[in-house]
Amino acid sequence: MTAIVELDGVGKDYAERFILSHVDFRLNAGEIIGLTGANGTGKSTLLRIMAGLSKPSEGRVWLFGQEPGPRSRSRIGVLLEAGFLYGDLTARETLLYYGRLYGIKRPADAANEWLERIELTRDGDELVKTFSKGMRQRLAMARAALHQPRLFLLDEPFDGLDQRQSERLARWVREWGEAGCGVVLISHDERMVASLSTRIVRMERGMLREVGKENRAP
Amino acid sequence: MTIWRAVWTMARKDVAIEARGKALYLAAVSYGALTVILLGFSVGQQRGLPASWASGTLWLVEVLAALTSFTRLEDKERWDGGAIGAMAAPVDRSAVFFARVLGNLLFVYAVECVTIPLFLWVLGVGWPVDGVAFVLAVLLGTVAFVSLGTFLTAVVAASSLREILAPVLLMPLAVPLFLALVSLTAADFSPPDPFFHASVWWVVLAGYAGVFLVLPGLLFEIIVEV
Repeated sequence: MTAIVELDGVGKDYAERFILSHVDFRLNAGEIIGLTGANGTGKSTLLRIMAGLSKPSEGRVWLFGQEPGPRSRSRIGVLLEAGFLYGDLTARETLLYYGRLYGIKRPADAANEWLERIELTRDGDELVKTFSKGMRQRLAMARAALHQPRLFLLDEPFDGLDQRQSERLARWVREWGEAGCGVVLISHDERMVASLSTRIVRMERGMLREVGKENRAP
Repeated sequence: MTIWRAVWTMARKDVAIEARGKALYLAAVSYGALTVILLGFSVGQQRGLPASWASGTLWLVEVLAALTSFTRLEDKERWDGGAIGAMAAPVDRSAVFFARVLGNLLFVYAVECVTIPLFLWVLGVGWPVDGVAFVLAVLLGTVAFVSLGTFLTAVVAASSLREILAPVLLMPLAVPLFLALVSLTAADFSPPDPFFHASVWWVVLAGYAGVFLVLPGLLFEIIVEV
């Protein structure tokens, strides 16, 4: 079976300081991997490499069995600390913009559908800069999922969400896993990570130190 | 998605954002207009500047007004990582550079539409003798200047000193370009001179526009990737 993500001896350094060192990692279809570890251990850097946003200093990366490129990026939904939003666009314009950029056939329909799913239909024509943190986070999540990716890379997706919204996002993450998508999840909410993940991986000083037992079958 | 469709999608977003606020456009136009008026006071009663002075001051006004646009677009892209969003999209990354050039270009052309006629009127320079050559020099010169400025702004984007570094790097690199622009526009404000070889300056201008439009497009992915 071709892995969705495969990292072989991946390392990354900035200005002679290593961030990641010899990381071997494999994510198969249907797996939800919880990536845990203290601040500054290289979790976000690892996610950026998987998203094709950063090149490793050493080692190889395969996404869907290919080297990272526009084709693999079309199948990735990425949510980093920044939401990739524009304050002077409305929520609807934001989703339309990304819908067009990802080549979605009916971007307006997809935008409307996602605005409804994240309960922002009424605020769809408001400027993003007027949104609360939670509203921005919901919009960023919709932006990441709009093009129906096969791989979700989520860095603190529950930040700013209330309990009801967090539970709804958790339900979507489970559904994506059940539909055969791969999910890599970084969150400080250990309880949430434990409940969602099929496997838990721990980062320590740029190295994958510990691989937890499978929580449940993918 | 083709590269040009992606460029248009991104540039259209920039235009929508700018059209909504208009603050920076008005600031750039006001800045250009104030510079022209101050120059008018300096010249005083001596209306009708010599051609070489007129062309030099014209480009001084346009360059100062254009400099505001480079960091303006970069700041909007950095607000919540929008620039990274475009890099994560399944489009050729050179499209991101070309879209920024197009966004800046439309902005600077819009500023020039107001400041150039104002300059010609306030300073009593008169209309160019060869209007077609003048418009062509302005269009091509702006492409060259904007491509170079957009590229350098992307190079220094990660620095906290980017608002200073971009113009400081731009000025020495753009010296031959300004010499070409000043010479060509000075010729447009003067009676025909049989000893003036415009073709040399046209080659410099076209070379700048070509090199700084194509080369950064090829290098952009390497420059912005960390």
